[in-house]
Amino acid sequence: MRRAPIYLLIDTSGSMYGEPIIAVQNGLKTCIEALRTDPESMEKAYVSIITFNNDAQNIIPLTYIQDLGTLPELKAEGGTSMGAAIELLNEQIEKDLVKNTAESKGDYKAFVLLLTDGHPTDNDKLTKEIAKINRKKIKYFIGAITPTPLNKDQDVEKIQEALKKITNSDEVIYLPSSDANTFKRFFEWVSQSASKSISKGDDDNHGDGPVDDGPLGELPPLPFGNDDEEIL
Amino acid sequence: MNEESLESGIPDPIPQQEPASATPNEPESVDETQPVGETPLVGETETVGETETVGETETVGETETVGETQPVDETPLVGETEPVGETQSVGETEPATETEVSPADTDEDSPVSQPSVPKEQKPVVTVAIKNPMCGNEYACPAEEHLGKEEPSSVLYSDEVGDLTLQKGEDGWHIAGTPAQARDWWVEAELSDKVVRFHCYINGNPRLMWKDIPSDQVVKPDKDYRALLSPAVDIIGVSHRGQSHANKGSYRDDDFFINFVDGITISVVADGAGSAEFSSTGSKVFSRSAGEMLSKLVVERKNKLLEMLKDLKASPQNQIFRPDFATCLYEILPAAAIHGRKQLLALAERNQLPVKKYHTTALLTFTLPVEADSYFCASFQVGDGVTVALADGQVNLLGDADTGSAPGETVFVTSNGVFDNANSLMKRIRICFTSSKPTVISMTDGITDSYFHEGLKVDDAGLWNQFLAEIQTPEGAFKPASVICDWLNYYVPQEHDDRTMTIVHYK
Repeated sequence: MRRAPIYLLIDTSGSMYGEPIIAVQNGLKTCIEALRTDPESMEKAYVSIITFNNDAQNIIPLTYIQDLGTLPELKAEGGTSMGAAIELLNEQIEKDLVKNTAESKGDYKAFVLLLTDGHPTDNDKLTKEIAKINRKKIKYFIGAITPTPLNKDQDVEKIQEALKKITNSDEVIYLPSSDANTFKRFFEWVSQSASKSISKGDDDNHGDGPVDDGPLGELPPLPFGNDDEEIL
Repeated sequence: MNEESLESGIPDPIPQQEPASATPNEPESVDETQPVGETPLVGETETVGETETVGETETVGETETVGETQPVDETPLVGETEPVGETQSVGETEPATETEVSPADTDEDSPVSQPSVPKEQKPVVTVAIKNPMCGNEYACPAEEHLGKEEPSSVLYSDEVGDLTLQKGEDGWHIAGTPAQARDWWVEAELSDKVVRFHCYINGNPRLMWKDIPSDQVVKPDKDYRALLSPAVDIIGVSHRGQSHANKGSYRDDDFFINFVDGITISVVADGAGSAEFSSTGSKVFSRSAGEMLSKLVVERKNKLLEMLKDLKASPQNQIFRPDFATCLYEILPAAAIHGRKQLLALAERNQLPVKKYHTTALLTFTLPVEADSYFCASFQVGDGVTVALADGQVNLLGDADTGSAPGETVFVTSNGVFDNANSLMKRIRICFTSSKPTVISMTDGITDSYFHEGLKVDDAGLWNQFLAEIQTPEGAFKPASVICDWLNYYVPQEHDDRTMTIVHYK
């Protein structure tokens, strides 16, 4: 069967400690629950969760949504090895996704989310891995920045730069805050977007060039404005 | 003496003067008062003549029946003392007997294990079990984690009761047919630990699919048509898939059928799911390409027939004769190009990129050549399949295009498809049959769901099975409306629009 893979790359660095990481934990639970209410996602979605701090961990390898159990507890500590996360993503996509062949259609293209609160601490690796991203296997690559209290003074532009390169898009999502309610709404949007991506299917024309609306233009509207100064 | 126990419903303790022996290491000291809180267990001597609070049990002048524990919540009334017929003065104890009852000797069939350690203090072992699904029978063995021990308590996460821990022939298992989607667990308390089985009960996606009509402005959500004549029946059916029905969006497939001058015409088109106006795209294309195909074949009918009579003696897939090749080229790709042009014009008029109208295309025409000879020709861009079924044979009339990346396909509106005459010729397939063929064109919504992702479109047995679904026992096709409704069969993960045309020589 054709699987619809969803990869969630979650920053669990030290600055996420406290309310943010708990809010993300609950948000992920909300995301899965919401996916479970959509029949098409329920039948096709495969979910993988990769966390990254000092290194990247595949805490949930690509698993059928019907087989998902309790999500492991997230612990916030350490740096922001975004490069390691992308490296792991690249490996997993290469390994996981069944290719299209002349005889049969392979898996759908992936829906990928990268959520971070700080700029990468392993830039060399990140640059290397960005070059290896197989864009043909990815339908949506979404970058999102959350303003944690401990990272308030971070250079947002720096984080933005990294995400734009990773996602190959000018559109980066700014969460207005890192509290429970914001994450809940954000992750509900993530699951709606993943569901929409799944139901759209994959028959983009080969050779017609990049999508001219930004990817976010095709997805449901965000529950908050895409402006880091907007207050909920 | 006996009233205390009557209320709790347990049998009266037999007023034996023979308390069972305590564990060997605990000789009763005659002169000691039994301190509150030190519960004498079954088999221990109790000091006669004193009222003791033993946990929550008060026994007066009685010993407990050997082999039975006074359950904690079934206590004699507190505060009452009864004169005992055989009161002994403080300080005397009954001689211990050799009755062998101790906690270690409790019979294996004893219904309740010792509540000596409260549940909250026991270590918890969590076991993840496979997630059940609502509406499906579920059974999961639990013996491995419980052993033979009967749990002293069983606690569920909720009171729905659709999934329970049960003891069957093969031991403990968790079974039932769940009814509600939710997180679920059960805690089985054993003597030394608590085993907590947990899972998530999945909702059944089959029950989640909605059927929301579209506004049907572009086209109806389902469509069917039949052209019946003495020699041949032509049927077209198209049904919106679950995926669109769930959102209330349009059917993206379409078809066109025609019968003109003894020639059958069929066009099947599958609008791209990701293209915003592909429902219009498939509709405009199938109609315009279909009308043009009708015109072009009829114009060349006589010329064609002459060549076919020559060629039928040596049927072949490759088209070697240049005049024959040219003739077909001027019919099939030409009709497709015409349809594509209409879409380009439409896109231009609306100032939209043509990819918003992306559609696949399966064009087919058939005609009888002579007695016992029939000719079929087909042209394909994109996925789906056309076959000519005759003499128990499956003649494939086309190749599905696939792109190199997952899930890609090619459309009649894609760049580069109509640039090269040779590649266009390769998209044409022909066949001759000596017996009356049944020629079927279908979109991938059917090949994926019925023919195993399109892998079994050459399987004659499967085609027979397919025909049996849509034919009467006598071999006639059921009414188009019936076939159309049948197209809505449920296959998990296969929820695309389903469309086909059938040309049936009788």
